[in-house]
Amino acid sequence: MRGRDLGPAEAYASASAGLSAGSGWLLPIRSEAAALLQSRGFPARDEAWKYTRAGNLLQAVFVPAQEASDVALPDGPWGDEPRLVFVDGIPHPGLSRGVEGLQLEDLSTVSGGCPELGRALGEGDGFSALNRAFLRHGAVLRLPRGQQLSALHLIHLCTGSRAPSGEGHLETLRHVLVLEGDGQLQLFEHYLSADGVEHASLTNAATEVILGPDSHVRHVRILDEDLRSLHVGAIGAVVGAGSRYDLTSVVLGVGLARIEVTVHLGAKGSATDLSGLSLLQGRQHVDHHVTVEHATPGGISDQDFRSVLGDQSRSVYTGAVIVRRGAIGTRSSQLHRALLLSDDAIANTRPWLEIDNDDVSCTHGAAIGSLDEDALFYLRQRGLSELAARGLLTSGFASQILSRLSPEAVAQHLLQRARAWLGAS
Amino acid sequence: MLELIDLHAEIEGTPILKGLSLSLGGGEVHAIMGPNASGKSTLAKVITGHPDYRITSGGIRFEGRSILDLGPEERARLGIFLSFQHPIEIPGVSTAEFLKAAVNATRRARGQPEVDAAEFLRLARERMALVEMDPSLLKRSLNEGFSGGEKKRNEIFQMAMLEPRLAILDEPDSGLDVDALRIVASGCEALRSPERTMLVITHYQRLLDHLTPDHTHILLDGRIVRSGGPELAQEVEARGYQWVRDEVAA
Repeated sequence: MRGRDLGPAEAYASASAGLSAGSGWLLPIRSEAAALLQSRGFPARDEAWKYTRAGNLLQAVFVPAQEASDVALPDGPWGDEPRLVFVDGIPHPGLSRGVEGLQLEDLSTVSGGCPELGRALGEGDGFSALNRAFLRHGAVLRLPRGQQLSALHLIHLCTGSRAPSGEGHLETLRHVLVLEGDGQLQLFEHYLSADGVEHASLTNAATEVILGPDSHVRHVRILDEDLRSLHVGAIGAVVGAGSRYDLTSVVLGVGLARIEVTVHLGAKGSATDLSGLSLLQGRQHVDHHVTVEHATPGGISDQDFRSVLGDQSRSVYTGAVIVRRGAIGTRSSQLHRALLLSDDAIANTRPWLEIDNDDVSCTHGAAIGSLDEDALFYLRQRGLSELAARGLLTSGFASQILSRLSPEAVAQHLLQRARAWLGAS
Repeated sequence: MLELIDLHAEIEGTPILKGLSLSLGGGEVHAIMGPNASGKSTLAKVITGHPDYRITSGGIRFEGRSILDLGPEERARLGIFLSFQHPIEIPGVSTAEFLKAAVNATRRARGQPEVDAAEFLRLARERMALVEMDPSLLKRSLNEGFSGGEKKRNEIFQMAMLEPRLAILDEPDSGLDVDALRIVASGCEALRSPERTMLVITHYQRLLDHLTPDHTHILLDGRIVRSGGPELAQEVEARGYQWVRDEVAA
């Protein structure tokens, strides 16, 4: 394609102009983002990208798929629950399953604009601009006041097929979920690869969750793709008064992932519980970059991010907690734990506190190390082989994040995947 | 059934056991008493194969064979059980999940059929009753958030499930109130059998009031310096250890 010799920012910016149109209101957002991308470029020696080289996500210029291939939906914990399925970033109505009366549609068909788009995720860096420059598809859900949805699955299936450029595909998605008030939602995002993937792809997926008052969202995001895939994820939540946003980010399969989480606690009694589990091997690299902003008194935020690292894998956790001047009585905790199963694995951890008032309680901790020798001896003394003992301790470490997920079907699915991973690693 | 022969052992270059010899017959209950740092817990860990301890000379024979070359799990599967002084907490692993794996690893090694979930639960409930343990603890993470008494009872419950030939009880009474002590001791007493030898490490006579030993030994500076019957424990309770030290020095 033209522009291959230009820098990736310029190449992507010019490619976005050729994107087939959705609703008209998307066009100015795309072109503005493309101009921004072109002028600013992708992050290079940025402090926020200290341990993850943005260049490794940009080794090729990926292009969007034109249409959804016909593939089968793999087995998963969604049962008969409502789901939107995207194949290579394109909605696949045949695999999706709606529910009557639900205000759920694809971004490209939303007419007249989506006022909440951009509220939970701001201008951001080059990858954020890339997401908007290719803005086309994604789930737009609106839960009117008082409505509950026990499960919505957003399933992303990557076929790994070849784009005309010779590379894999670029998948950009923008999901916007709005709870107007007094609502509940369990949201599951699955990123999966179809069987027989042949080419690496780049996913750039942004999810915005806007919680009105007295609402609760439990969000589970599962990355279980081919080991060559590249992934940039952005999750933003704006939490209303008396509301709670909980996220668990599970990473099982991906080559390189950078996942940014931004939660804004700007209303009285808002709270968030963020957790993550990455099970990595080979040369997998996963970077969680979490920012929680406390802008109102009495907010509560907790973070527990864990990784299990084999071979030469690497996990990065940056957890920033920002407490604004008026946010007295803020309570926040951050914890990063990494279990190193190999001498060559690396874990980087950076807790980051920015506190503008006195009356707060903020704790942070990090524990990076190998399995506890006393615990291993205890289990072996009970007759378990060393291998079984190591497996049990590692699965215990992982299941502290997974077993608290609901519903049971999702927790069991992930526990099973984690055990399979442990058996194979 | 267990013979410790002139055993010398060290940890990180520091000698702890300095020529310990002891012989336990089948079905006997032996009590080991001794002041702090005399080597009691080391003895328990050396017999069970803790990798931090190095045996520099001497031998350990269990039912006629040397076990020095065996790893902890192999010794466990032969039927050697240690009730830990400080049981380990393992978050994320339920007591049931752990213990079923342990029971089945042991059964496989002994050529017995594995127990399924239903049979395991039935056995577990029956044996938890021995130490008046709440069955709801089976679902909880192993020892996490358990009280001191619950942890010690859990050790004895595990012993009941694993049915060892040799049970080493490392201060099963430490940190227990009078009622919990009675429950733990009577649980041990109930598990006493001609098929099971017990080596009980304790500081106090009060455990031995419920679990009367056939033999009592005093461990001092890495060696057994006195052996006798149950009355030796009473003498220690009444007089402390200084007289033993004096006699040994003389």
